[in-house]
Amino acid sequence: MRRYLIGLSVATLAAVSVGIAEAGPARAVNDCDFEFATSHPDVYKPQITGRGLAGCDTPPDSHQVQLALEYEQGGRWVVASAKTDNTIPPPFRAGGHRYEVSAACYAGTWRMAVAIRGTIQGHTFQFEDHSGTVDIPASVCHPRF
Amino acid sequence: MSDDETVQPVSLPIDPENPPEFPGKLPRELSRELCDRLQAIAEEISPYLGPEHRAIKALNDASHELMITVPFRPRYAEYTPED
Repeated sequence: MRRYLIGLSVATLAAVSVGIAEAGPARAVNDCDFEFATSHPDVYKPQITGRGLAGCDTPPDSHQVQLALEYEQGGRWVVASAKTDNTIPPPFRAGGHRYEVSAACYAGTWRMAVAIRGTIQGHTFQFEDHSGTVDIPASVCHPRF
Repeated sequence: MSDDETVQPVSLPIDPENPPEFPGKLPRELSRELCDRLQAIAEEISPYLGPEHRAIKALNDASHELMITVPFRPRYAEYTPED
């Protein structure tokens, strides 16, 4: 019985020690993610489409996503179409929130771009990303000019 | 499961009397590759069916289902979890 009690005390001390070690200052973590659905935009002639998905583990106070389709012109990216969505995304495990934007398809180099901003715990956050590119020849979609 | 952990498929052959526990996750690279393959199928059928056809919607839905099976990798909206 005494051996059992000693064993129990050691186990309790160990558990308390672990608890103390883990109860340090709370660490900041990232809450949300955005992923493009594919490596580059979908070419569904006569349109081009961009798709993406966002998810947040804890609902932020606000979350605004602008998903855009951009084409390259003279070494710069020009927005052909953009869509803004203020939905607070649920976690990925609950399906997340889907975004989609379309534009008329013209020949050229295209990509998707996303700009996200919002607030969480009273702090603002921003996130930007872009996809890979797709080159659409004039044999697939008409030239823009 | 964190993104750093490697997702491995179950070992084959599977014993029907003692089936293994499936990870329920896809490695990020595999998910991306599969989504791109679904996109290629959708782009191939689009000139026949049109961009609004339900077959294309089904392929896009399948791609979404594959995306959400990837280990979550939060990249923005930093916050401090409350106890």
